[in-house]
Amino acid sequence: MPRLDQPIHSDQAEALPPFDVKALRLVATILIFPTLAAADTLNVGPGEVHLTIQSAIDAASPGDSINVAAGLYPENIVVSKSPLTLTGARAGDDARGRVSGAPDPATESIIAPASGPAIEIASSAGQISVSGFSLAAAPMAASGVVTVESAAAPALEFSNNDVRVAAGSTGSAMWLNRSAENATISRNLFVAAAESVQGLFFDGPDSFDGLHFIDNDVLRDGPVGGTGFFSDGVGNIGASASRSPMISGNRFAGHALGFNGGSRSLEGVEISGNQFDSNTGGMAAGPANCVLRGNHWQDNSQYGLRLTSFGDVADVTRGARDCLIEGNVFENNGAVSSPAGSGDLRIDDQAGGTQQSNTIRDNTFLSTLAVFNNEPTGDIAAAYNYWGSADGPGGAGPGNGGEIAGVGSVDFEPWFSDDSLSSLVYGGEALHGSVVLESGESIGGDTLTLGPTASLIVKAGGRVDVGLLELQSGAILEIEGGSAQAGRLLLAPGAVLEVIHGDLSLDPLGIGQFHTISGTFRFFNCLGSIEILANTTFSGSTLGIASDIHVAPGVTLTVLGDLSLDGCLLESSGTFNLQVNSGATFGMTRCHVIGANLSLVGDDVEIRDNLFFSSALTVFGTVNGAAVFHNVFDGGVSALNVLPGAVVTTTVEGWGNVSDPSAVQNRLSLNFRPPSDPTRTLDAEGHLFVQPGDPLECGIDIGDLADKAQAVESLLGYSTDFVAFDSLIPSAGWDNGLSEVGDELAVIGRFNSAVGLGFAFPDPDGTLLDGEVADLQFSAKSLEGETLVFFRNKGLDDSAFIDTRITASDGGAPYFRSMPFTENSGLLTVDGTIPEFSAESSAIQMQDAIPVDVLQGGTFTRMGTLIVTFDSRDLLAGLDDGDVSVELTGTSLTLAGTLAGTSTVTVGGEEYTRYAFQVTIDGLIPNGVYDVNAAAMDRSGNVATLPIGAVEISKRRVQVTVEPEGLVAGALTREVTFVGTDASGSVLAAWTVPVGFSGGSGSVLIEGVPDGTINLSAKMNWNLRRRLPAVFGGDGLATVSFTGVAKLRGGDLTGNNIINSGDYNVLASSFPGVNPIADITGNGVVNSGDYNILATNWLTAGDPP
Amino acid sequence: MSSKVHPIVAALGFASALPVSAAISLPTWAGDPNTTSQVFLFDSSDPTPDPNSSANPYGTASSSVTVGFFGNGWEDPSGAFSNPGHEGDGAWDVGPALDLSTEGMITFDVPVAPGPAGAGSLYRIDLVFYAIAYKDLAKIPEFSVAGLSSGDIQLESSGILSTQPPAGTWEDRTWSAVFEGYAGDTISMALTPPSGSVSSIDRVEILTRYTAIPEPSVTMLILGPMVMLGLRRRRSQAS
Repeated sequence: MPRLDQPIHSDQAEALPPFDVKALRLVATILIFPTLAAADTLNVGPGEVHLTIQSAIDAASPGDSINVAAGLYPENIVVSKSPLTLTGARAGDDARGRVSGAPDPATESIIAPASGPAIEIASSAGQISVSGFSLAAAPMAASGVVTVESAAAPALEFSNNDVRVAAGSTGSAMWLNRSAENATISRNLFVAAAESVQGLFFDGPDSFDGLHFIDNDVLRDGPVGGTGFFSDGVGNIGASASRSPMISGNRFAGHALGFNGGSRSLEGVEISGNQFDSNTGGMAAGPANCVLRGNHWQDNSQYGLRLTSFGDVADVTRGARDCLIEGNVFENNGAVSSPAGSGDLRIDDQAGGTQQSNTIRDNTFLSTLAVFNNEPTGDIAAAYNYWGSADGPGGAGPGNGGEIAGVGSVDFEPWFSDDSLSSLVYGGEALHGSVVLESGESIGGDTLTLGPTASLIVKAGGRVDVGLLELQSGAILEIEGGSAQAGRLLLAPGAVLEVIHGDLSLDPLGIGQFHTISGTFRFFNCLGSIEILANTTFSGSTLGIASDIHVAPGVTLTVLGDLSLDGCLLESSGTFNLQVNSGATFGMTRCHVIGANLSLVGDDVEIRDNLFFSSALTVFGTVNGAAVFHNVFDGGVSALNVLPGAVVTTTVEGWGNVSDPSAVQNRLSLNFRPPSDPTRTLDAEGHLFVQPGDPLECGIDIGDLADKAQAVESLLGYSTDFVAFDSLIPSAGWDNGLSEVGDELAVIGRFNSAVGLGFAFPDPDGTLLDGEVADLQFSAKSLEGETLVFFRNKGLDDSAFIDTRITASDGGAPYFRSMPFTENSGLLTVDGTIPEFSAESSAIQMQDAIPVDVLQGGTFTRMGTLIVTFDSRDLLAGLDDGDVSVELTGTSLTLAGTLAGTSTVTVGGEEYTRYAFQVTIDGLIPNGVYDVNAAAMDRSGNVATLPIGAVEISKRRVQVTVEPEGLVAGALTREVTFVGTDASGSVLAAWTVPVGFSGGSGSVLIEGVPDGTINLSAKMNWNLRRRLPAVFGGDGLATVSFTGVAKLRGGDLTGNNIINSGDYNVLASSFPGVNPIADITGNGVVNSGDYNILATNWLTAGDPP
Repeated sequence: MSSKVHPIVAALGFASALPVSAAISLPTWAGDPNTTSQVFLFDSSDPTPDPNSSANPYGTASSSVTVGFFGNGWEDPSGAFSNPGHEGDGAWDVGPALDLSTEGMITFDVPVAPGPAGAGSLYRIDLVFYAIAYKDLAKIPEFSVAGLSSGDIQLESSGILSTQPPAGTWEDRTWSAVFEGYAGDTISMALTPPSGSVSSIDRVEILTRYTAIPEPSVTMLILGPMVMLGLRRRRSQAS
């Protein structure tokens, strides 16, 4: 049937059925229109309707597609219709690297005219798409292999094309001399000729808004010259109505100037992920509001990036403005003419103020000359870059990194001291504003000054490590789980340093710097993490709660202002001095003090409920009104030396200072209760180890009552970071009245949610019995770390009706014991992290006095002792030896190891505990392969397992000696096949092993002999099999000798364990000769010696296996 | 004995497509009426090989090979290590049992007459058996005929056909026997290694002739003197 949209010829019409003409016309009316509206595909190539592309274009209708087969098309294509799609044979194939040498017409659709452009885009009616071609032409100047010359090309799609300018041509690979908005040019290879003025030309007056120039290579064939990518105009590469421009993922290489963006052509362009290399200049442009991110400038002989107005110093609309140059890498640029006007980044003189509007940060400058700044006015904002050296930029900078040169000024502080851009150095620049150091980020350098408005927060994993840490008045440094090290700390009045479960080390190198704390210094829950290693003056206000403070021996802490320590460990490995001067305020409650030499000169002092170890306290005669009571001095109360003239209270509520902890009175203590989960740990010191989410209980206990107690009140604190308060369970006999669960306003920091509790004993006369008053139930939060539950001092926001005290009774008449001896809980460790293992582990058995790694294939574990070692650690909760184990798991049995010893080792710079487990292999243990696994459970019940490997236990082995009949005396090696059989003759195992023979015999040790083996046979290629009994001793060793009368008879050359004509034939075929298969004697020849052996054993059969 | 090929035997060989061995000492009656001839080359691993050529109007001879524990079986000419016979087309290596008792052998059943001897008649069977076998560690087999003792079998000739290292020779043997008063029409024969030995057998040729003889009770009285005379004359010629 003819198509209705084609002319119907008369002869066809005659063949048609006699349709009604009106009906036919109606059908045609209905069908013809949609058929005409549909796009057609026209094929071009040998055997196709169209042999030339132009023929197909001429025949095409708008909207059609033209598929061009591989081949050579020497045409000047003019695409005069649109929309139109031209698809070459390689559509879909990235052109970069696709063609090697000359394009192959067998695979490429090659458009290669003798002269002039290969393709001219000459229609603006719709989108034109060109993809998958290889284009080669010799365009003249102001033209290109591909041109948009006579009409705009809206939404041009040009992809996967290999475009080359013929040698000698001065034209471009792509010449865009009319607008091409929203053009997408991607995955093309553009190769300019050596003489090409530009590789790609984007004409100035025309618009290329919305350009996506992505993943192209713009190269040059020949010596460096010309420009790779050229655009000029005024904002003509900017945002279109539908999309922002993007120049991304391209490579510009081999040009005098890789990319020339004009003085004001680029506007709002994302220029990212490009490579500019091997040019004289990588890129020169005056972009506005552009982002240059993640580009790589490398090996450009003069400069990498040049921000320029191309000489115009008056026009503020020209030059680089308001750009973000971020995250780029500059490497080996300016190597030739450094330093004059070259280097990684060249900043030209522009209209005043324009260069200063750019931000240059997070870049890596690795060349000798990093920045050459010719802008004489203002500072170039180039902080937060890495200059190739930890000590910052060279030249105008202080360090040894890439130089800063030129007449202008560059603000380079702070800089990164590492190429991962994680550690900042502020140099002489004070930190202003708010900075948060997250995990992995740090600030280093000689000095860090926090200006009056600065706020620096150091989160967990963040770090400050500086020589001098100065906080000016108004500055705030919060260490929230992070760490800070300062050779010297200067905390000005009005400055705040707060450490919350973080680390702070003052003078970690022990240089002897002194620290001045004149501002507010607070630390909470810093357990084991405050180090004061140099003399320190506390002239401001310092409050420490539930923290560990390590003081270097010989250091003197001088209190001139306020210093209050509550629930802290204050210790030294030697003796340190703590001097409270006149006018100072000093409080120390519920602290453990080790190695302190306290001198009290001032009056405003209260020291109570502390435990002093190896410490002394001297109250000078100037003191009038200090209170030192209810303390325990382990060396005796004589450690408290009250000098004549001193007025000091040492006895309160009937007792004073004691030398024995059991001598305290009215004890009020917090004690963790045993955890319900047996994998959690409550150790003998009262420390509790749990996991996040675990419930935990802390009891309030009374004891050592001097008077009957009828009521108890407690002001408690805990860290809301680590635990949540769930409920209060009074003990039997004690009613309770929960006065308050405070919020974070109640006290300071986050160590600040608190409970105030009151309890009453039913009997108004009270009780003298020790016991539990109440049980506080908490749940552990997700944050891991150490904390505790503690008594706290009364705050201003606490209820006036509650305190930490005991209401005593005298015949029912109440009175307060306001100074009970209070004890905080042990440490609570919240740990949800499994223990670690090092990469080192082993399973060693001494075999014949040689240590053998039985994890290696081909080795066996014998009866005896196996030592399994591995390294483990748990940095938070720690490991108890009893919670570390080794097991050997076989198919029917699991063997548990016994801990034989531990040692401390360093692996990969990290310290571990090495555990050595002993596993005894006796005769009752079945042979077989056993998986060796170690397990470690930390005190919080986190379990980690370590698959160490597998060992094969084989308790039995046989020492075998083999004498092949007639074997020469010289040394040689031959394989012997041994077979182990049981009483029924069943084969249990077989081994074919090379045996070294000398003197006519050889020996070998066979391991892995199965249980039940009673016979062992030996067979060689030249010899009959011999079977002998294998009798194992108590050590699993049997000795079997196939020697003498039991030697292996020779002559079985066919391996059938019979000596007959088959063997004779083998021998005869080689006789005389050197074929080793018939060389029974092993002397290298087949001769009568071999024949005689065969003849001797003629018609003999060997033993069964 | 003469090694010359009798013209009639030559004709027989032609008729059987395979020439008899040049080494065989043929009887004078070869090719005569009432004679048979069959040649076994043992050129395949078939343990019941048919003759490779046969001129036997009474049927087809058969054979059966028993290799025995120590026998090497059929020696394949294409095998990497084999001793495929003097003529190189294969041979059978048969041997004793594990206890070295007789186990391996080759037996032959040869139709020698048109049917069992009829009433009042018996056959005289003349038999010539030719074999090629290997001799070194292997031994020349022994030839036996069912119904005859070893004393009834004459070794007519022996010779060395070829030698090979280390010390082996391919040799031939020709045995003859006469079976007097045989009533059946098939004779069974065997080649058996000497006790405790193996034998490699490359080729066998068997020639027979039957002569119908009246029952002695009837004819001996009449023809006895003539038979004795005839026998005497034949022996005289053979010598």
